[in-house]
Amino acid sequence: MRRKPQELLIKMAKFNIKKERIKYNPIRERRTMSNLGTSAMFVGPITTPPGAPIITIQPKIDPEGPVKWKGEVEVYFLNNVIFNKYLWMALVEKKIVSLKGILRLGNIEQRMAAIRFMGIEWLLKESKAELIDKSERGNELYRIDKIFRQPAYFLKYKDISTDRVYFSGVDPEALKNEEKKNRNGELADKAMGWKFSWSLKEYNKLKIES
Amino acid sequence: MNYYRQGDLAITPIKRLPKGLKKVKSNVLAYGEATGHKHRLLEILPQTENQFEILEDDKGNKYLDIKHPTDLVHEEHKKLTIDRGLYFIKNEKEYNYFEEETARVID
Repeated sequence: MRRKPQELLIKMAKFNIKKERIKYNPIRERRTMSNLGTSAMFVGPITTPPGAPIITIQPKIDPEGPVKWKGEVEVYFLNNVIFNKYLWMALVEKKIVSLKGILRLGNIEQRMAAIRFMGIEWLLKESKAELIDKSERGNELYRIDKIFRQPAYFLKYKDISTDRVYFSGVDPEALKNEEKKNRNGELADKAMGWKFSWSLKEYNKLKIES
Repeated sequence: MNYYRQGDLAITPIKRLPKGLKKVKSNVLAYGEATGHKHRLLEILPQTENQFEILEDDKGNKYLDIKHPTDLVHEEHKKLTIDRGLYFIKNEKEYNYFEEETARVID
């Protein structure tokens, strides 16, 4: 069941209020948010300008409405990037679900944060990523053009113990000049080998995995 | 010499160990940061038998000296039996196109 934005806000606010007193420190705040990972959403107040004295945050949570921060400004973050409330809610509520819609956003940081929030699987589907190679071991290599600064390669593979499917980026340098000459599964396996710092020859020696 | 992979952990055979390694007292090769799961070697012989050694360089890279075949276990992955030999432990990595950098896969 999809959560209502208010529920999400309240949940995240509860997470935030563990720290009763914070000193505004944009570098630390950014680092803290980065540590939450790629799918983390963050709602938090920008409290005071840099250099201001320590202040106390006293959030007041109204279950019937959005989170209110007493005496503070509401600011909405998605993957470290500030959004206005309505755009944030549209993304969190998945009202904007097309890549086209996200690419219309004027701010490049917001575009990237929104794509990151939607996830790589969604991006592969929405961008009509090209499957450029598939190996007998089940590794699938996709290429996405015109979204990032350079063509992006993503590997789709299955964990043989858990059957979970993963999507993971591969360094374009590792596949440079290989795409045209190296298919029939070798390119996808080479990409998988790169993930473990193995050459294709070494990856082919891997017989025991779980 | 066999190559092994258990989830996000790769075990690569090597001919010799680098100098200056220090012994690690734990039998854990790697921790899952998000899940708390562990890739762990099973000690079945008394410590005096010296079944295996986990070693570490000053950068935190881990090496294995397996003196008797040893099981590697994990909460979600099937057990692997590692043959005698010297190995280098590598973690799975990925390229982040948003940050434009390579980083260790975090699970």
